[in-house]
Amino acid sequence: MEDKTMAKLNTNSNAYTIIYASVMVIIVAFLLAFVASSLKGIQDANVARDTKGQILSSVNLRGVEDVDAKYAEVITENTDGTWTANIDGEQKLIIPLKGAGLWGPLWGYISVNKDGETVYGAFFNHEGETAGLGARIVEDWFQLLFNGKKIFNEGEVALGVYKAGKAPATLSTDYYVDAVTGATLTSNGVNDMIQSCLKEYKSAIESFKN
Amino acid sequence: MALFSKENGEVFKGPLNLNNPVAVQVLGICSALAVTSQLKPAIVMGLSVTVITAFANVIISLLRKTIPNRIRIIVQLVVVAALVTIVSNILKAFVYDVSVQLSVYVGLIITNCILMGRLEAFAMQNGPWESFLDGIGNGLGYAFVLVVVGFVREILGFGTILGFQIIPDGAFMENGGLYLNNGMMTMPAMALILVACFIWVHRAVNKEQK
Repeated sequence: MEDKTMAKLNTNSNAYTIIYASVMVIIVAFLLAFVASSLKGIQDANVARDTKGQILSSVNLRGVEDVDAKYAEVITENTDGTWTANIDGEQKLIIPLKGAGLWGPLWGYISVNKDGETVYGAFFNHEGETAGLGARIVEDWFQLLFNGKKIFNEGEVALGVYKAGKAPATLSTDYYVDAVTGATLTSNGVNDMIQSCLKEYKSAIESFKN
Repeated sequence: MALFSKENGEVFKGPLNLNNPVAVQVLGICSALAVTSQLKPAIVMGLSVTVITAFANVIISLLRKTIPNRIRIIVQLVVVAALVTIVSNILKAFVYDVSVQLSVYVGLIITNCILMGRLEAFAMQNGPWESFLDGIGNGLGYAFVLVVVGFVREILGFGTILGFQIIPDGAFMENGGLYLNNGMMTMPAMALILVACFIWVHRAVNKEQK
């Protein structure tokens, strides 16, 4: 019975093709909208928790188990888009970073000590840098290189990421870290991101210091 | 119509060896280069492709008699894209950590030529069960090559396997030993050379059966 109706249908006619495509697209659209909206609540909660974990990482609290509780305990949000962290009675200013890597956006957080001069900790993340090369900026060893580095040289933002031998000759190693081998473009992206965002939040760092 | 007949066994086993999608048909090379610098993304990518190829094959096989010939590629693409989107949404909701690691690789599955190749060449002419076996077989054949390449690149490029240190610290040059990680292995070009070596060995072993 079914075969007979199939045989009668001309699957090559224009009308059939158009109706088939329309019906298929509508079904798929409803299916995807249903899946996306029914999972959105859980996904948003995951993203929010992940962001809190990233902010905590920038003050060297990595791999915390109960992110929500630790975040509530340590971090307070400021009105200008920065955060203040209270670590063992000392205040740290956390500055958000946004930039562009080789394949997609980069972002991160960098925390500054109360002296307004040195880095307390840093965290970077990316959307789609090359696995094993650019993607290594998320690894602890790279981010830990920033701890204790100085930010301002003669009042200008100097903190940066340079390939070995490519740093300005006058710049002391207190002001920069080495780029990731094989990931020059991603490392340049991290460099630009740090410099532009710190410049933007320079006044926030000044007022935090005082 | 035996489920595990000899023919079905061939459908499953062919792509694992004599008709391997990467080594013999030379498909899916682009993703083989992109995700194999370390073993873990290679494994997850292989498994994701296996699951999605199998289900896309089954769906297209069920629809094959109704699909208008002129828009069949579009229909196949819509099915694959819908499946990939659903899988990526589910990952984001329930295993957020894994989905963050995979973001770009999951998207890449849509453009994997093995998927489109199997849908067009097999699922359009065969029943759902055979298509399912064909999808699993091709996915595993692809995964096998990725795992081999990822294994070699990670151990020679980073001295680790799945992130665990294999080459002892003392053997490295910076600690007074004689060993140095091979930076070439972390480059995408090396994946191409390794895939070529894999094909060479594969051909040499299977010479008489061709």
